[in-house]
Amino acid sequence: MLKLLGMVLLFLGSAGTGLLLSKGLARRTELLQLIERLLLTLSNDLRYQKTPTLRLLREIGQDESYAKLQFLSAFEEPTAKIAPISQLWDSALKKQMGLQNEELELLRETGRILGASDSESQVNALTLQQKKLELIITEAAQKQQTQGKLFRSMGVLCGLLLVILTF
Amino acid sequence: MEGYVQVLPYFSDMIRTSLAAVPSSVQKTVREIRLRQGRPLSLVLMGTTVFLTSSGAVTKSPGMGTLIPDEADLWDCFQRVCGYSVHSCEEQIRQGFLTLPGGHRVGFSGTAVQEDGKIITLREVNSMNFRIARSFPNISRDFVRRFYGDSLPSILLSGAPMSGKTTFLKDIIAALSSGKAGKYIKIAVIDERGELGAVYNGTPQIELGPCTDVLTGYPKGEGMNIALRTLSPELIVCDEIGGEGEANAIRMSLNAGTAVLATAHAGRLDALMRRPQIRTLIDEGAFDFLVQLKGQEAPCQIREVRQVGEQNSQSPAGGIKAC
Repeated sequence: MLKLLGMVLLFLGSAGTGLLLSKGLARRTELLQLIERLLLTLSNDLRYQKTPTLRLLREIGQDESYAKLQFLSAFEEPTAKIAPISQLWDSALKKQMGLQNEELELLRETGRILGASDSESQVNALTLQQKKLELIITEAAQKQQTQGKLFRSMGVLCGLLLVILTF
Repeated sequence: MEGYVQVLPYFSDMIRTSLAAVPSSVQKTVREIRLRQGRPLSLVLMGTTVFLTSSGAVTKSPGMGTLIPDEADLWDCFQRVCGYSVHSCEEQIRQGFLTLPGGHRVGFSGTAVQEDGKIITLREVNSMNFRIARSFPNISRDFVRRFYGDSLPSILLSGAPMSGKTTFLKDIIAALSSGKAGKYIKIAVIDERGELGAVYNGTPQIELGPCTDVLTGYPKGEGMNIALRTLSPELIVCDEIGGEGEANAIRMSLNAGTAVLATAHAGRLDALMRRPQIRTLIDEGAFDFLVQLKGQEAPCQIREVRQVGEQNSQSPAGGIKAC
């Protein structure tokens, strides 16, 4: 009985690991698409409304549709001290889970753009960031397609193998 | 908080440390803090310019040890002044200055970016001038009693740069609006450049009295027309008149029975009279009094007053007499 339980746990553990890894890839793609939306929101505001940066980030931080970008929650409360956006942004990014170095670096660059120059220059720089992000998203989506399936399949197969070996 | 201390957070760390170390007796007399890239940092006191060393000492001439802001200092300062939101300040940057909390003003110069002959933005800010707003409460008390005690004349106040015209004007507005002339006077202030109300994020930083309406950013001529149509002012106030549109608007105000209080740049009344639009207004009797301020060595102090309107064919000034 105990042995049977052990085999079930081994199978579930392995299959679960494969599923988690696959979900991780899916989550990354989802986060990247959310970042793409964020860049578009920032660009549009700079183009049409020119809201002060901290106020804009506060409004976005309070928007539930961006809840998965945890670093934005650092801007929800009005900051008592005005500091360079890039500093606040870099510090907030340390909270963000589920992203890789490539997109984290892109976000750090974005933080250095915000509020630092006139609206036209910022919009141009953010457009460039969006182009870079598109490539990252394409690559991430492909990875999710191919590696996602692989992880799920490998998870199940490894689970079965472990069950057979312990049988 | 004292004005000098209010502006310190806008400087880079190194410069702020040196400025904070300036003796408080000197701090109280500072009117301008001037940053120029690659050149000694200077402080403009009452009528004199001194230079700052890194230890906070002031010297009469630049030399060894004088603080020299570099590009990074100017950039840091510019970012702080814009609240790290340069795009939100584009309109003010285009006009060449920004208002800070407390009513202090920062002027910029640098490389202008033009489009169709108009400045659209500034790049490479290489010079900044912090003008510290100082108030002299009740400085206009005698003036208000003398000229507004029993009537509401139209007055043109002139003075050289830094003679205190705007400071004096603000105190007059606050006094009249607060009933210090014996009654509460409804005043419309046409604040084209945001200097009188010193609006920061939509909030006036300068107290101009309970009966004052401030039209910020309105071109003077149009602002006066709108004020006359919608605000029923007893007195219209504007700073630095000179153009034809403003002259026509002043005529309209006077035709509507509304008094005008305006300022103009001029080191002397004779120089004022040489300005065509202003000369025409004076000759038409638009103003009852011309008031000349002394100068930067004695800000907000009156040098001369001339009464307009008494026809005197022997007077060389064409109907204007000193009083």
